[in-house]
Amino acid sequence: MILAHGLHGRSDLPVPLWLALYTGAAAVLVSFVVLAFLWTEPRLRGARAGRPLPEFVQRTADSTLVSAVARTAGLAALLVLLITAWAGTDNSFTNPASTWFYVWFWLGFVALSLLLGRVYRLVNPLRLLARALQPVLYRPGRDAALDKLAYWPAIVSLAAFLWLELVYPASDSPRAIAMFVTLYTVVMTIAGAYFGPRWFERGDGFEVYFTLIARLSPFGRRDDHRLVLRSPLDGLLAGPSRGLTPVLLLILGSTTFDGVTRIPGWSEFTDRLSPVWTAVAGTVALAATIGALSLMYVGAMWLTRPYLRRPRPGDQPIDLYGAFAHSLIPLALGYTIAHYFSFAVFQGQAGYLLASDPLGRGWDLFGTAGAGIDYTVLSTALIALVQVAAIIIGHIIAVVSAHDRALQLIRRDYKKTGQYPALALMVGYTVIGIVLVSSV
Amino acid sequence: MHQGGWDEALMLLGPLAIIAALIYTARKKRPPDGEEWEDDWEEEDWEKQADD
Repeated sequence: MILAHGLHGRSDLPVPLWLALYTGAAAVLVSFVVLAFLWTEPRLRGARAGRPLPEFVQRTADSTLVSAVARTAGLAALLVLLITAWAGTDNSFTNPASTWFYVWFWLGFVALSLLLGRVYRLVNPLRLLARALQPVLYRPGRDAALDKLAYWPAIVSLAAFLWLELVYPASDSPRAIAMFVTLYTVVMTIAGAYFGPRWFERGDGFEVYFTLIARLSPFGRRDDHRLVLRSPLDGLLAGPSRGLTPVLLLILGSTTFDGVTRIPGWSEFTDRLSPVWTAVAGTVALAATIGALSLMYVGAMWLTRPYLRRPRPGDQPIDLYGAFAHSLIPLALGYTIAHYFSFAVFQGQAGYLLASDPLGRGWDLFGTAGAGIDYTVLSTALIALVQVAAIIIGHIIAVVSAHDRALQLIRRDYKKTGQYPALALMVGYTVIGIVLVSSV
Repeated sequence: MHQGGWDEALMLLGPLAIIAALIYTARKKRPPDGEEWEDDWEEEDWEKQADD
């Protein structure tokens, strides 16, 4: 994301790198040791857990009025974004569309989903558009085909977005964003109308991603559809796991790639290339980074396989890759916070500053036309602290959730040793994460 | 604080040694393949409690 590269998305660690590295690795190891002695039986209850919220909260959240208002607001925001991106200047320093899209939407809904749960599903304007087309395109029974597609449509749509954000040399161009959002809207609306609303749970990359982040929210749905307050650790298990591993590895790998591109050596290398070769090099490096993190995950699961209990006669075999997929969610979130926290706070301000003159006509609608971004709202020490804390806390939550799952799946006499491969994976991911956030 | 250079690469040796030790132990102590285990289908205490 060029916006991110041009702004203060990084900071110096307030401690030496070796200390951050060893603290991160030690935090993962110590949490495992503590769990091995104090958490000896599976405790997490997933979608069965949670304290119901008061009835009026549930009624309000489920009301058709709230749903209609939320989706109408979502549709209005989409229209404003599209008009601004198409009709304003093609410059992210004067057109707010780039900031609205990459910061307010892409990062903002990560924060909202983490705080409030599955809010994106409620405001997703594409659901509203698809519903309008449904009488023309939908035939009952088609949504069964979605089971065969698994999450691959969401993976493709997310990969397209991530390529635009991280690889495309003019990723901050409002016109490029306008083109992407328009195409995305058309494809998702037609697919949603053709397959029915379930499409958005499987095929809309944004909804799939924000829904995964929402599992870490204190608010969620129990399996009896009650709106509940629950531990994020239970929330992680509340939802399907089969097929989600590639989605999470894609997110994890792409965020890691964003860190790689901020290493000075990368920019020195790409500065010598033409835009086309920069895009080619970026595409290869993005695929290689996702591939490397995926290989690490597959390797850890391969090493874990001999330790698994055998399924009882009549039971389904254990889907090892899916079984631990939920533990990648806090890692992906930790990386996202570490990489984009300061960027969101700084660049996010441009969203309302530039909103005074969205079309570049010399307006000053909100009196903010001459104002600049306030870079003093965060100190570099605070940014670095948040970065390291996000990675370490993300990994500790991942260790806890993987440990609880391992207690169910690993043979009785091997509960500790059987988790060593996953532990090695977590230490490896922690080290990569910390090295990349420190590589200014 | 980014120092750069070999000293930074050497720093990684510690975590890499931890990872190598964990993988080595996991491979060395893994249960033998192809053998049936008594505990495979046996209900564990937490499963019995959940059934109750």
